[in-house]
Order: sequence, then C-alpha cells, then structure tokens
Amino acid sequence: MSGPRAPSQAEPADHPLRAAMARGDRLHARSSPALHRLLAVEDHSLLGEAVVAQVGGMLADLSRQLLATDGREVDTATSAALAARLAESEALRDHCHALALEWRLALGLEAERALDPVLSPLIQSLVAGIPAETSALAMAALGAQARFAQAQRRMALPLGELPAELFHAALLILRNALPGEPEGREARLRRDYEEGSGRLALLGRLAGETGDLLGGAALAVEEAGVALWLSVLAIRTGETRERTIFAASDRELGRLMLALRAAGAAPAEAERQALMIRPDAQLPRGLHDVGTREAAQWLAEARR
Amino acid sequence: MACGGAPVSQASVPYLATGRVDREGRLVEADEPLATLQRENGGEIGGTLAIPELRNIATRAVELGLRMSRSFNALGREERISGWIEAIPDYAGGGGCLLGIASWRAEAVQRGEEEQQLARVRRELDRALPEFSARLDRNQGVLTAASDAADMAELAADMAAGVGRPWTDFVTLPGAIEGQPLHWRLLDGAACEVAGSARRWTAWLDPLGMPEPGSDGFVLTLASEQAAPEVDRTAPAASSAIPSLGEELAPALREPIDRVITQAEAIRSRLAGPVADIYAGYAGDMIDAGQHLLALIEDIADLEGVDAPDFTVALVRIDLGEAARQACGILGVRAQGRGIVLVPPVPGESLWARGEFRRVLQILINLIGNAIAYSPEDSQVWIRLDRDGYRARVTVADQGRGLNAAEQARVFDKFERLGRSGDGGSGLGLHIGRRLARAMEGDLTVESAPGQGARFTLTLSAVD
Repeated sequence: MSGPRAPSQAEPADHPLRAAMARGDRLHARSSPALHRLLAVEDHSLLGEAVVAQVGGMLADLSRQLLATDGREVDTATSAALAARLAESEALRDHCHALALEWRLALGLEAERALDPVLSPLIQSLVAGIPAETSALAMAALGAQARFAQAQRRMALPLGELPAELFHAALLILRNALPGEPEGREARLRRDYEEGSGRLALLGRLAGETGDLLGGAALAVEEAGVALWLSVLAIRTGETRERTIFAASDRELGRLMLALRAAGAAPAEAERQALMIRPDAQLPRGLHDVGTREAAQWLAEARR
Repeated sequence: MACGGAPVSQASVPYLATGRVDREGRLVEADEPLATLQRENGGEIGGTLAIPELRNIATRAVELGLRMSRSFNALGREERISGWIEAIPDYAGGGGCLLGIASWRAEAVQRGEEEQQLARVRRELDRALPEFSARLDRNQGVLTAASDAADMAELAADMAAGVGRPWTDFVTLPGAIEGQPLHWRLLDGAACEVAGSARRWTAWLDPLGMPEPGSDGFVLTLASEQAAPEVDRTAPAASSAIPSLGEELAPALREPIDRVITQAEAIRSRLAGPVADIYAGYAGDMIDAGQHLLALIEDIADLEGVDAPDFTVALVRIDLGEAARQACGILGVRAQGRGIVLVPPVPGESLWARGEFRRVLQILINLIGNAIAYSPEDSQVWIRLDRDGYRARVTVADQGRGLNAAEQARVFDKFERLGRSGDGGSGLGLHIGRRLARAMEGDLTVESAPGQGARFTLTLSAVD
C-alpha cells in the first residue's frame, strides 16, 4: 500500500530522509527550552544571535501593547516582567521564534536572489490579475506583509497579528500577571480582535486561492515569496506554519524536502527549492524513491 | 485590529454564505451551499453542526470569545470542499456564533491520483457493505459464506454445503480456465456471474496475514453496481410469538457481525491506508470478539436445530478419511500459529461410513479446534481412522493435559467449559457434536487420563 514508486532498498524506518527529519526534529525540541533560557538572561551578547534578539523584541513589544491599551504610560519594570511571563509560554515563544526565522529567511533570499521580502512576482501578478476578489485579497495580503516587514525591522509584533489561540494565551498571561486589572479591558481587547484581518489569515486564504490559479508556481519560493510559499506549504501538508518554518530553517532540510514532496512538488523540484533556501546544504539523499503519499504519511507519523 | 498597524477592511469581506450556530452548537440558520454540506454530512438545519472542521472552529471561537478566520476542509457527497470561514462569537449574549464563508472551492473528486482515491473509497464501500461476502482459506477454499441479497442466497447455500472447495467452483468467471483458482491478484476485481442472479458481479479478494499476503486466507466480497431485485415482502410473518434464535435471529445477527469482522480485517490489514500498530491491534481484538460471537450464534442456532424434535440428518455413504483431511486443511493455519502439527490420515486412506458429510466435518473441526486450543505449543494432534466390525471410528488425539474422570463425565454437557474462560469457546461444541453423532446413529466419546492427553472418538456405522 505504499506510494506509486517502488520502496527503496533500505527499511522505510531507516530511510535517510526520515532519519534527517528526526534529527531535525530532535534538534528543534532541544532548541526551544534553550531559547527560553537564553531569553531569561538579559545580556544577549553571549548568544549574539539576531534571532534571539528578534524574539525578545517581539515579546517585549507584545507586553507593551497589552499594557498600553488605555493609552497610559507603560512602566518599564512592569512591561519587562510581563514580557518575561510571555516568554514562559512555549507556544508564544515558538510562534515568535518562527516569525524571526521567517524574516531571516526572507532577508537571506533578498540578499542572494534579489527576492523582495514584501512583493513577490506571484503576489504582483495576483494583484494585477482577475478575478477581482482574488486581486483584492492579494492587495490586502500585500499590505499586511508590508506592515510585517516594517514591524520585523523594528523587532515588533502587533498584538492583533497573533493567531486566536495565542492572543487568548497572551490575555490569560496578562490576567494572571495583573490580577487587579478591570475586566472591561480584556473584554474590549477580545472584541476588537479580528483574526481574519491578520497577515497569516490573509496569506492562508491566498494560499487556498492559488491552489486553483497557479498550481506549481505557488510551491516555488522565488515566485511566491517566502511568506506565501510557507503558507502554501503549510496548508498543503496540513502542518502548522511554524513547523514549516522550522523545517525550512533546519540545517539538513529533510523535513522541508518531504513537505515539498507531500505538497506535490517533483523530487528534483523539491531539491532545487531546498538548495534555493540553503545553497550550501548537504541534502539527504533518497527523495527520488519517495512518493507524495508516502512523504505525507511520514510527516503525519512524525507529528505524533 | 486592536493595536499597531493600520486597520484593514478585510473583515468586511462579502460572505458567500452565512450561518448561525446557537449556544448548544446547533446550526440554526444556513444559506446554501452551507446548508447542503450540513445535510451531506448527516446533519440538518436546527441540528448539531455536523461538518467536523467547522464545528471545531465554531466551538473554539465561542470558547475564546474571539473572531476567528481559518481554512477548512470538508467532504460533500461528491465533492471535496476547501474554503475559508470566519466565526464571529455572538457578543450580544446569545452564546453562539455567526459563520461567514469567505471562500468555497468544490472539487469533484476525480482527477489522477484523486480518481484512484475515489475508486478506492468506492471499493471500501463495496467491502464495507457487501451484498455477499465469504471467508476463504489460503488456497481460496470456502470457509464461510454469507449474503443478505435474495438473489445470492443460492450461492451462499451452495458454498455452505461445499466448504473447503475453491470459491471459483461456485461462480462463472467468463474466460477463466477450469481447475485450480488463479493467483489472487489475477482474480481480484474479476467480473463474474452467479447462478440465480441476473446481475453482473465483481469479485474482490482481500488477502489476510503477514508478511505474505494471503497466508491467513482471504475475504471474498462480491459487489454489483446493479440494484438488488425487489423482494416480495408480503410473505406471511412467522407464527411463533417468541423468535427462535436459530431460525430467525441467527441470520439477522450473522450479517452485521460479519460486517464488523470484515471491516476490522480491512483495518488490521491496513487496506484503507496505514494505521498505527496499536489500532491494528484493536482491530485484531474486534475480529476475535466478532468471531467468538459468530461462533456462539452458530452454536446456539445449531443446538436449537439438533434439539428440535424434527431434526433429521441425511445418512449417505461418506469417507471419514476425506472429512478428516478437509478438517485439517481448514484448521492448518490456526494450528501452525500455535506451532502444532496436525497429522491427518494419509491421502488415499479411506474409511467409509454412514453419515452426513457436512455434520461429520463440523464435529471434526470442533474436535481438532479444541485439540489445537488446549494442546501445548509445538505438540502434535493425530487424527486416526479404524474399523471394528460394524463400527467405523475416527479419533482425534492430542498431547494436552488430559481430563480426569469427573471432567470426562461432564465434558459433553451443555455450556460445560471445564473451568476455562476467555478463550472464545461457548461450551456447546462437544454437546452439539454428541447430539449430531447420535442423530447419525453413532456416538462421540472421550478417553483420557490426566497428563496423557485426550482422545475423542466419533463412531459411526461402517459401510463397505
């Protein structure tokens, strides 16, 4: 019942791609608590990583926004304490970590391939194209992406850009951190929240549309741009977008190649995409024996 | 948006359709195509929101009190739907939420790989709701057959009477060669004709057993795209007030249990796609439990039959050697599984007696099955023939722990389990066996000493 291709001579469990994927996953599992520790120390010079600073910046920005909703002055100590509590949430950490990695990926492709982090060829053609609804959607996504780029450059993250579950988690952290706060503020924050106007929702919707309109181009990062490409890949493989970003930031790119394969890319195209993301990567071999369904199955098994 | 960034007007997307979910999770209002999708998922307007992913999103939005905007996938009757939905909690205090469909793509599931997938789903359905199904041994010989279609009853009856013969003997495979059945892969999906049915049938063979598919036999299902002929439902109802398990309930119970077993087999053998080992294990438990139930029903139905005053057997000249060899063939796989070697009479060795072949086979299968179940692993079970004047005897001897005198006295009693439980036995097999043997003017007896194994002997009248 395997895919249309003959299975490789190796045992499926020992396939080099699966092993690479497992190694990547283990590394990520270890990196998240480490990141937590890194965020807990105030001096980031030892780590020196732009990513860590970026994540810290986003969490601090979220904390400021949570506290500043009444337009009052935010006292630095309270804000820093709240940021530290936000950093304790694995989900929030992972989300910010993923966004920071996404942004680095976009900057890397801009440097090496002259790919605009905001306006990609595909978005451009969608904005200019028909039908009008898709064009309007692409325009809205383009605006959201431009604001994201701006915010990332300032190491910021608008609160309303958080997915609903994380927005909720942030509000709970606020509630527990400042028990005396009036309830009305949280209720107002909830009421004003609009997941559908966030960048991730707009990209997600656009990713769905491009499935019909543009087929293969959406799986080519140099066409779709990093942001839309990640959303397309996540939707087509059923993975979270965060996980897709971690896969694209992994050294061996095993998971990314399997995801591309599962999303329908031909083996050679998946390898080309992986090399586009990381030109010096030592790609694990054996993708040519893996069918799309098998790749999807392996991803699903690794998710458990 | 709450903070940061310019507000986007995307929230006011013109929705393709809207719906309203109340506090209890019921879809109380819905435009098309949402309403149709709800019905195609088995729900109704005013009933629980039945589209799984939409239900999750709606529940979440209400729980969090947040407007959510998510992609969703759903299955309609003939289409796969993917789209985007916004769920807006009812802040006015109603407790439910509004659903707005922002995009909706319906894809007829029929292109390339998807067409194959659809074909597979259809095939699964055929398997799940077969009008005819049978279990085969690894040589494609019939073990059991069941059908709920009137025009297939004849085939089911023929197969039941011809247990052990290849299934291809009972149907017409246009263009097939007479004799041994072909490799199962060549027969899987074959068109066939059935005596008594005007419909065209397709045969599906699902191999059982690992690692060699088919090493534990097969599930044969026959499916037809044509509807079953109308059955005359004006037949007079049975007159007896209390339904008899044997005549009325057993056929009705057999069919759903057969389906459970067939389905569980499909899961265990991963026919519907890969499943984790633990679920394959659960499916195995379902099969065991189903088979136990089935055996119990058969036994109770048999018991009613043999206890009935008008029970008769058709006594003809039969070969006990052939019956013993067939019984060993049917149970060979089970014996192998426990490392037990069955030693039947050598081919060509015959002993002629007066009896009904089907009943003798039933008794021998029961005796050998018990011997396999209660013998130590890596032991042997012998089936011996001998004749003593007018008596023809077939003896099943095992190397189990044997029975003491008190146990020997009780072993033929109804529902006697000799203290065993949880092994799938009903405690009826030997009781029925003895009744059958006596109905055939013979007897079923036991000789044993503790530690020496047990010897069950079926005695019938010998004929030349």
